[in-house]
Amino acid sequence: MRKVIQVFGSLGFAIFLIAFLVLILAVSTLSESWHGTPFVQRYIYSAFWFDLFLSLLWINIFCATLTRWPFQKKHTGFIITHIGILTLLIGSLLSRLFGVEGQISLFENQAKQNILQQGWEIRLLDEKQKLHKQPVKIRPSKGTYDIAIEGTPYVFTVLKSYENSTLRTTLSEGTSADATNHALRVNLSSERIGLNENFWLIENNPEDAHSSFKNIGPALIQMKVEKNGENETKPLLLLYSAKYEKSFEVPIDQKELREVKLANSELTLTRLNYYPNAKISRNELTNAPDEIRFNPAVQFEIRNANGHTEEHTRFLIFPDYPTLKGGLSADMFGLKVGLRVETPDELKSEFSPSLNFYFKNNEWSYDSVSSKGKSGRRPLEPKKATPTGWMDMVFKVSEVFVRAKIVRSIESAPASKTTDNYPALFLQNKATGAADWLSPEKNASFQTLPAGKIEMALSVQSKAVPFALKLVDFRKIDYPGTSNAQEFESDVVLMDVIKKTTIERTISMNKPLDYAGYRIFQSSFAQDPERGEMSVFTVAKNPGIGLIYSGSVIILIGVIMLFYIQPVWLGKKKRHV
Amino acid sequence: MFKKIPFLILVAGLAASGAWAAEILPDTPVRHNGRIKPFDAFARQTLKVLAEADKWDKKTAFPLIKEAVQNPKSAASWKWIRVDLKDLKRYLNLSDETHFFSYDDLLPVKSRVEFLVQNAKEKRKKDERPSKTEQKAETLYNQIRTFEELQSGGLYTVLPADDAAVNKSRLRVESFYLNYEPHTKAAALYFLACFIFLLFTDKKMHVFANLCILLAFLWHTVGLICRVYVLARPPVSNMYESMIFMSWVLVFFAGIFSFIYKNNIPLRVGALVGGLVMLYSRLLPIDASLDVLVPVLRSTYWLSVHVMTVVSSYGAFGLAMALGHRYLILDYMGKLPKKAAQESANLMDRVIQLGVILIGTGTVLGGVWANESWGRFWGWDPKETWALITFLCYLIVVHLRFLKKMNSFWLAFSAVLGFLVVLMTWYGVNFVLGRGLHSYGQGSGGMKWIIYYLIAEAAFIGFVLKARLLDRGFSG
Repeated sequence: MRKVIQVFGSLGFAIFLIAFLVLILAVSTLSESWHGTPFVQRYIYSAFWFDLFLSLLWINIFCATLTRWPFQKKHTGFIITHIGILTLLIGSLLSRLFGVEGQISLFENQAKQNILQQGWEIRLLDEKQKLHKQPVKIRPSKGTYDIAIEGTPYVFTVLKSYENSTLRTTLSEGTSADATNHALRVNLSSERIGLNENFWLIENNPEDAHSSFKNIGPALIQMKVEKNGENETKPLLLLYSAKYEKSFEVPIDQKELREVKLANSELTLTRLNYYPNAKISRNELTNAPDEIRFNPAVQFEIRNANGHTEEHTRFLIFPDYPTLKGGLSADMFGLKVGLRVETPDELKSEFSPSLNFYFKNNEWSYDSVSSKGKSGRRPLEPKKATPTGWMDMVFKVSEVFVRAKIVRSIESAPASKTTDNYPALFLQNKATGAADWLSPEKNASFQTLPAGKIEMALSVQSKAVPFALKLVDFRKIDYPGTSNAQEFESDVVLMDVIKKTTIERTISMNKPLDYAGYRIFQSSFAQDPERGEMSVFTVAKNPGIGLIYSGSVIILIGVIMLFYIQPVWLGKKKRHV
Repeated sequence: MFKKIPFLILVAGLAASGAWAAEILPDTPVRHNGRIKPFDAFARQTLKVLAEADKWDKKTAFPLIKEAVQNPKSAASWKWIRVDLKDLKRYLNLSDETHFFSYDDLLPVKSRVEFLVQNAKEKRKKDERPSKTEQKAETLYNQIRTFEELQSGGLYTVLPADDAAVNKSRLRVESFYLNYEPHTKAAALYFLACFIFLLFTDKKMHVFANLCILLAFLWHTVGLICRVYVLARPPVSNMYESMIFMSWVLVFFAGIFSFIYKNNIPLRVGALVGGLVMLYSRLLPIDASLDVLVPVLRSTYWLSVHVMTVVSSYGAFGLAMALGHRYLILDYMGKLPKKAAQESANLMDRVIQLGVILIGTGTVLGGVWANESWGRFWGWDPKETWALITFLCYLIVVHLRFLKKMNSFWLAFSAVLGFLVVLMTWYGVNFVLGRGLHSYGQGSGGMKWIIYYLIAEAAFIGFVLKARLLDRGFSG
């Protein structure tokens, strides 16, 4: 036994462990740089083998302490230090096992007593409107397996399981019964600046009025389907609201419009200005017909029934991003804004630089315009890399559709390095055989599973805490003269129904609220169109923290003993060994 | 004369008082980047953005920016916006012959710059690193925007001198700091002292050199105090400040050890390395300006204590590194008698022990701050992980020394090697790994000078290893 202790407590073993730990940590920070934080958290820091390795270190320190038995005066510093380390490690173990970390997101005047944690759960609302929660581990599936929802008779078979998924828009060719809807898949690339972009040009996409062209920087890539006998169109403002799932068209007859009610919605357009030759000058949008030949833009304000307004600016050509200023937040109504303007004849195929695809008399052709001039129309050869003639770029049309049908589907995606991952499960009800996707992603219309009268969802795991937290007011304070945040503050009320305590407090960055072993921190904030500001709090319970702190202090005392007091106390010659 | 000054400022100024309009002076208060500062400071920062230098056309920032503000049309034709990347210039059809262009030169190609900037933005969204051309385009875009905002007056607001928000003594201290450049003076004096030690053996000259170090340290301290006073925060909130503070601690510790051991050597090598670190703080493209912080860094006590402790440990390890170099060089030259070697090793032991205590304490304090700020003591953030790695590496050295399993040669060698780990923690995590909580507001690039150091150090280490292992060239 003594021998075993000596081996495990030996300095050689300690040095080996420390050196190996250094190696693991160095490799893991490098792989974090390549693969992202979730990757290393999962495969290294939270992995079982890493815990095992750290416990070896614990064993080493413990045995090293034992080998000094019986302790002598010269061991004082050593023993204190190592007891400190053991205390610290026990503290971290306690925190690891019994700690709680989660988030509460609150709107003003809202209260909650649940925190959201890492991990996922299936929520099932049964026939009696009773909510059941079943935690699930989402791993890439190898074969199928069953999940039973506790407290209910329901059992589901997981047919597919993705750790991270995206809602993908794909196109497919329709049948002759479908309306024509031309579409091209274009790849644009340039080696010199490291660009490689794939995009669709679609004649009609209900969700995107701009689907028939694409701006890349100052360049315009467009598809024109030339039909015979069609009249010239007036400028048309196109709106699609994801929130109301409706699209609207507002014809622009003159340069200014006032008060247009959007049919079948609570939205009203309160002001609209149209700029056929838009230019941004000194942060103001102006009409500059002398300078700008063709760059239509529209600027308008929209209001909902609650009186919240939002101002949008949309350019046809450049800059190629919409801008908006919001009352309560940006993008309250989930609006996609488009502008349809017929290009004037003299500019029709002259926009520089541009790449134009034409569909005429059942044939595809293209031309390109650059500062050097305009190329003649040439027949389009799909899948052939062709120079655009400008900005040293090359394009390739990889797919061509005549009756494109837009299909949305859930697909597996590579794990994101920074943003949250959205898992997806493809479940089959064992009893009825009905199957569908469950995914927490917004806009995915797969939330409910047709399995009788129940409703299901895949959600972030939640946990009850012994208090309710209510947000009274949230404030973002900026540095004067800038919009850079200086401070975030939340006035909250904490209520414990059982103990009948109520605490009113202001939580700000670095000023948390302590209650019953929980600490509540200001973490971030968000804005919602309807409900105003949302404050996000981190709620943490760290039961080992006392041991961690005292362990650290003990180590410091031990080390100071070892380095500075003992040499004086025991004389220089006698060291601790 | 003032008709070009934007309308808004005019209104703001006139509304408050008429006194402001006399003349723009170097210490006229302006609000810029969330802080009230002298016009001169704003001018220097703006010129640094545009020309990436402190001077242009042999003129300093203040007269230049003042003229640019008063005469924006002519400023648009000044060739003072620096673009140096060949690929970018080629893509923008700019002349390869010069690095400097005017706003008028750049305006026709602005859309191309925007194009690259948008690409870069898309890549960042997807968490990819933009290409070098795109990164430079982002810099250029910022330069163009800065110029446009300078022209339109959106960049800054002139405040009347008697505005309630203006703290006059702060302005005065900032002007003093900018005009006297205490840190440049300090670095120059450190180097002067080192030259004297190197070239003269005369005792009197050595006393003079020590006085130089003392004077340098005073300037160094004054500079730090100025920054603390102007910004009202501890001097360790960005890379530049941490380098200045680290070198201050290094020289301070060198002085303490010199005093305790009645030995001038730590002070000499300390002055050299301290001066070098200060020189590096100017060479690296890091922001030396005085600016405000994001909310999470705007805190507290624990943050300051944590960062200052950790940066102090870098100072100690830097001193150990300096002593290590000295030991190895003298030992190789056969100029290190046994007693001096013993003394030097003992010194290195003591310095490393101090460093280990500081980095250990500092890392734990970081945990305390993290726990106080977001409820988590330890999160394996790259910076804290590398602090732990550094701590563990030096811990191995301390253990081996305690058990007499490492001789003086390998101690000196470890002191040199260990500082490379410190560099990784200090600089590498932010600029090489570029990830994690500690990478607030850090730029990229500037690797050139770090690579020179690494090459020099690698050559040194290689030489020492060869001499030791193959030629048996060291005592031990």
